Amino acid sequence: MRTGGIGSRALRSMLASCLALVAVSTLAEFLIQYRGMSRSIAEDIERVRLAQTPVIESALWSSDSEQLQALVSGMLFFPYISYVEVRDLDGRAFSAGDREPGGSERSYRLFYEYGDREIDLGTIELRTDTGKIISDITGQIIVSLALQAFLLFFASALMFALFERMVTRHLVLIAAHVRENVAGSAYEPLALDKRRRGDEIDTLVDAFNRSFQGLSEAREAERRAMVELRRSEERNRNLVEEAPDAIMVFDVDLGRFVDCNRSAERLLGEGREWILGIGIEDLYAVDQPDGLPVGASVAANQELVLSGRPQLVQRNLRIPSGGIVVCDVRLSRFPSEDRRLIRASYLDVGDRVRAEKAVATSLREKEVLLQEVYHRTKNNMQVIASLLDMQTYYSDDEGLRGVMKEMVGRIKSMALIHQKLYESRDLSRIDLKEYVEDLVREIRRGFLDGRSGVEIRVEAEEGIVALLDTAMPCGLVLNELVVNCIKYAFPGGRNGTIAVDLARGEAGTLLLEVSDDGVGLPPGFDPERDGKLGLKTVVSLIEYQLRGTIAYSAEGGTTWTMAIKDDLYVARV
Amino acid sequence: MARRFPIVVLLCSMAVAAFGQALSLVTDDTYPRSTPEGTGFEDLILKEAFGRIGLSVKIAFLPSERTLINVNKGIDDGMFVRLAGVEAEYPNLVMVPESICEYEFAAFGADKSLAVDGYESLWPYRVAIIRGWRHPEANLAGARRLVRVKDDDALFAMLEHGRVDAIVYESLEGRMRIRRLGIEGVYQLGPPLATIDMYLYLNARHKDLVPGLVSALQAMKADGTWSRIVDTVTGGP
Repeated sequence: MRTGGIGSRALRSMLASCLALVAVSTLAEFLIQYRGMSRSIAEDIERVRLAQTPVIESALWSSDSEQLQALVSGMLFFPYISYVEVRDLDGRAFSAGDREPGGSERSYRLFYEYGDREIDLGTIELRTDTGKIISDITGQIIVSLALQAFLLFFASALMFALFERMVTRHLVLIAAHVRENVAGSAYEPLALDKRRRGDEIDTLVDAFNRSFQGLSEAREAERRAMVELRRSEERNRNLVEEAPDAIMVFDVDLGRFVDCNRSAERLLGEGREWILGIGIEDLYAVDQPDGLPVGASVAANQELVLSGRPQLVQRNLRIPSGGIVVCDVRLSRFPSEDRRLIRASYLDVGDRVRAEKAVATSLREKEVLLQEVYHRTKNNMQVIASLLDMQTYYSDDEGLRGVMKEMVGRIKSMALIHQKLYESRDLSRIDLKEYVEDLVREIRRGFLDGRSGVEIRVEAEEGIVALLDTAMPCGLVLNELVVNCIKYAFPGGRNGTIAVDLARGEAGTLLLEVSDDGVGLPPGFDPERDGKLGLKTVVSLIEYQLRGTIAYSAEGGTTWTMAIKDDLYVARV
Repeated sequence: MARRFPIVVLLCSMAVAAFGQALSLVTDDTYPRSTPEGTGFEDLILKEAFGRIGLSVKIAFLPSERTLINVNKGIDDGMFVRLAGVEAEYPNLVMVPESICEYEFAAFGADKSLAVDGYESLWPYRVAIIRGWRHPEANLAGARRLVRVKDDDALFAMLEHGRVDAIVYESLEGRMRIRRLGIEGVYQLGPPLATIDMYLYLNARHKDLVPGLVSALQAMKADGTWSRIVDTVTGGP
C-alpha cells in the first residue's frame, strides 16, 4: 500500500467517514431499539399481567399459597421481569426474583368478582430489569456493529484494491513515464497494461500522449529555432560588429555606454573596455552643430527617443587621440524590459559635410553667375529695345515705326522673362501670374500711353510657375495677341476691354485666353492665310514649340483660347 | 331475662330483616352436607334454625380457606361448618356454640392393605388434605409428604392419579361421593381418624344472633327436626 497515495487516503477517509456513520446509526439504532424494546416489554408485561392476574386472583381467592408461589415464581420466566410480589390484604407476601434497585416498577390491584361485588384481594408488583434490557440491546448493537464494521472494512478493502488496480497503478506508470520523458526530446507514447475501454485513464493517457507529442514537437521546433536564433544572432552580431556605423548603447540610468561594436572602437581609436566606461560628456565636444549646450540638447533628445520617437542629430565627437569628428547620430530606443537604453549609431560624415559645403559654395557661385547672365541678358535686351526705340524715334516712316514698336515690345517681353528669372530664387522657373501682370503693365505703358478708353484686365491663378522654355513663348504669344487687340479691336478711338485669363487646366495643362469686346475679325479670317507675321508667329509658337492648341472666336469681339502643356520641358538648372 | 330472650331475638331478626337482605352463609362442604341447591342436611338445618329466629339465608360454596377469610372480613355473614376455636386465628369470627353436626375424619385410599389406625399411622405415606382443614393439617404435620389441595375434587383427583397414597376426608362425604360418582378402587381405610363436633361461625357483627341460633338448634335437636333432616338427606340412620 502506498501510504501517501490517493487509494490509501481514500481508504482512510472512507473508513473514518463510514465509522462515523456507523457510530451515528448505531446510536440511533440503540435509541430506537431501546424505545421499541421498552414499549414491547411494557406490552408484554401488560399481556403477562392480564393473562396471569386472573389465575393469581383465583389462587389468592382460594388461598392456595403453593399455587400462588408457583405462579409468582413462574412469572420470572417472562423476559425482563426481575421481581414479582403478590401481597394480600393481611400482609402476606409471595415473591420471586431479586428486588435490585433500579429498573422500572409497576403495581396493580388484585380483585375477585364475588357475586355482584369486586373483592379487593391485594396487590401484585412487577419489576423489570432495565439493566438487562440495555445489556441485551448493547449486545445486539455490538454484534450489529461488528458485522457492519467487518462489512465496511471488507468493502473498503475491496474498493481500495479495485482503485489500486483500476486507477492508482496506472497513475504511477503515467507519472513514471512523464518523469522519464521530461528531459528527452523524442517522445515514446505511453501504453498501459490494460485493455482499452475508453475510460478516464485511457482519456488521460491519450491526453498525455497528445500533450507530450506536441511538447516534443514544440521542443524540437524550439531547439531548431534556438539554433537558428543563435545563427541569426551571430549574423546580426556580425552585421553590427562589421557595420560601417559606430554603434553604441547608452544606459540612461547608469549614465554610461554599456555596449559597442568594432566600428565604434575604430571611430574612437580606443578599446571596448574604455568605451564602456565613458558617458556622453566624455564623448561630445562642447561645441555642437546645433549650437545648443550639450547637456540640455542630449537630455531633450533622450526624452524623445525613450518616448518612441527616433532622432537624427549631428554631433561633434571628441576623439581621445585629439581632434573632432563630425557624425550623423541616429538615436533609437533599444529594447529592454527593465532598463532605459538608447541605441546610438554614429556615422562619420566629416568628408560629406566638407563636400556638401564645397557643393553649396559652388552652387551659390553658379547661381550668382546665372543671375548675372540673366541680368546681363535682360540688360542687353533692354539695350536692344532702347536702341530700336531710339531708331523708331528718328524714323518718319509710320509703318517702320509700328514694326519697330512691335519688335521693341517683343524684346521687352523676353527681357522681362530674364528679369524675373534672376529675381527668382529658383533661376529656372518664374511665377506666371506675376510675369503676365508685369508684361501687361509694360504693354499698357508702351501701347496705351494716353489712351484711356481701353482697359486691360488680368485674371491669373495664383501659384502657376513655368520653366523658361515655356514662359518665353507664352510671353511672346501674350504680347502679340494683346498688342493686336489694342491695334485692331478698337478702331476710331473706340473704348473697350481686353481680358487676359491664365488658369490651370486638366492633366497638367495651362489655359491662356486673350479676348476683347472690340469689332472682331473680318468675316472669313484665317490666321494662317490672312494673319501677319505676328499672328503666324503666335500659331507657330503654340502649336509647334509648345505642342499646344489654339482656337479663336469672333462673336462679340475676338477671343483667343490656348491650351499648352506645362510639363513639356524639364529644368536644366 | 329468659322470658324476654325471644323478644330480643325477634327484635334483632326484625332489624336484620329490615335491611331486606338474606344472610349469606358460605361453606366448603359438599353433598350430602351441602349442595349448590341448598339441599344438603347442613343447609336444611341452618335454614330451619335461621328460619326459627325469623331470618333467611342464602348459601354459597367457597374454598375452605376463603370461607374463613370472607366471614372474618365481613364479606359474608357466616360460615359452616368449622371446628371450635377458629376464632383464635380469625378474631372477627363468633362461634355459635351448638354443634351443627359431627365430622368423622377418615383416610381413603386405593390400597386396602394400608393399615390405618389414627393419624400417626399415615405419617409414612404421601397424604393429601384440603387446604384450610385445620384438624387433619395439625395432626399430619409429621407426614412424609403432606399435600394441600384446593377442594375435594382436587383431593380425589390426586388419589385417582396415584400422586398420593391416601387422602384425609370426611367419612360420610367420602363414602357418598364414591357412591354417587361411581368411583371405583377407592376405599375408606380403617376406622375414622377422629370424630369432631362442628359449628356455625358468624361475623362478629352478628354476635347478637348467637343466642337465638343456639336455642333454635337445641330446639331442633330436642324436637327431632335435626335427626329427621339428616336422615332424610342421608337415607336414614
